[in-house]
Amino acid sequence: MSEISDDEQLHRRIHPMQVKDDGTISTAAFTDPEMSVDRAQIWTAQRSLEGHPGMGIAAFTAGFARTLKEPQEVVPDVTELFRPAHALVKGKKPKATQKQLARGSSLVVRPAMNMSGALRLPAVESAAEAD
Amino acid sequence: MRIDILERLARQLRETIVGVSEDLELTADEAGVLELVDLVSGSSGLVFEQTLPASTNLAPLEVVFDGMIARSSGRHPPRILTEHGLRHIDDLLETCQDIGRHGTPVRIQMASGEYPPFYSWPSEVWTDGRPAPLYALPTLPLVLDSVTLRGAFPPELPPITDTEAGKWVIRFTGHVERLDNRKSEMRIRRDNKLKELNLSEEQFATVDGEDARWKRVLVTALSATPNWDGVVEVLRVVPATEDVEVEATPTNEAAQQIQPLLKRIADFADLPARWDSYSAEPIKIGAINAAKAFLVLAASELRARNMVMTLPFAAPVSRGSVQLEWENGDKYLEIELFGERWLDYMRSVDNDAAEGETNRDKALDLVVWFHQRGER
Repeated sequence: MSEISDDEQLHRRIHPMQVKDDGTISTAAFTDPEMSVDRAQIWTAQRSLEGHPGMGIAAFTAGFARTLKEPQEVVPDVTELFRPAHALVKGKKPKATQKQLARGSSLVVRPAMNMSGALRLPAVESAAEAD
Repeated sequence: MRIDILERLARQLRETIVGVSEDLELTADEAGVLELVDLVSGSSGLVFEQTLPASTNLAPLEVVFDGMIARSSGRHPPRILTEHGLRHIDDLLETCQDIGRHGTPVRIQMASGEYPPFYSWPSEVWTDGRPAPLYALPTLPLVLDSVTLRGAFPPELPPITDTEAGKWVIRFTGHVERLDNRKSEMRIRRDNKLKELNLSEEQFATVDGEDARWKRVLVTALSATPNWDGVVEVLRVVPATEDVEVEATPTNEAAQQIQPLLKRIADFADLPARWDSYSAEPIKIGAINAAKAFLVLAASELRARNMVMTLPFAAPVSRGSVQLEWENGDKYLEIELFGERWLDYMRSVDNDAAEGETNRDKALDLVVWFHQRGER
């Protein structure tokens, strides 16, 4: 599995309840010390969403994660034979770091719904366009 | 008496005790434990109980109240108090005055071994071997949350006639019985006969005589006072058995405003394991209840300060907690609740951020901070 370059896009699935009406993502989506992502150059957003209807996709670069106030380690997950795109963003994620990740990510695929009804987002790329 | 006012008073009093204890050169342990003992059978009385080591002669609580009474009456405060201690006492006095300005005058009264005659005090307090409360803080006039408490009023005091208080509807099946006079709990015992009620608060208060004990039911609730439309939310109803369905629905305006958010948080309970498509835990019921209770308290705390709560964004967190997020320009507050006693927070203004563990009282202060204009 190749190393992940700084400019490589990473995708993380986002639950509809973690997206606000204005399209910003809650910091609650970025708490895991070993946070799963998919490498966009290996799997499209559409592929990452297969089997996960309703979820959205947030994107950020590996370089961004590596230069956070609490720098993250971004590594391929060599244990995932059937998910070659799978990678991990490893490191402590205090709330300030979660917020950096949330604010530094773009929602490239919007979730289908949130709890208060349909999301009222400005036009964003569709899954197909994002890929 | 509104729970939030009681808690605010208790919080401020605890801070004052700590401050005065320093004047008395007492360590935190020696200062004793201050507890809110009882709401005195539904009255607005409030008893603080302080447990002190036998070797300690001076009770910080006593000094605090002596200081307060002296300050209020223009007498010299106890000499042992330094400027530091007096500052704490003045803060407490200001809090009492502020509460009074909002319709709930606070009267400081020494109990000194004998309680005011018009209260029916829980007999347990007098049990030998237990520390007797030092002071009582009755508040007049009685501004209670619920007319359901009318039956608990001491005969010397007039019942509440103003029923402008917030309304709620409690629906349940089963038989209601107040099993424990000291606990603020309503218990429900199911019997063979299915009983279903849908009562307004007035009906609730005047339901048939045999069930007069209902009038003594003290649900842990926040409600409107007659003076303003606050939040009504039953925080805790404890059925005696598990097969009883209880639903409490706040119906006043302020409560309805917050209701969709409470509903959203309640719905987090439906999230299964791995709900985030990764390895998320189900959201813990304790976290959900804590978040709901916290929101109601926060709304009430803000209303007491003539502020209106900006509704936060509520999100489930993969580690089973509930997160509340407030954001206004560059001002940001995040409170994550794992349970009633376990909260994390982050507050930030621009790039200046602080975070860590906190408790509910401090978290409430943070919510107030967020809503204060110009406070950074």
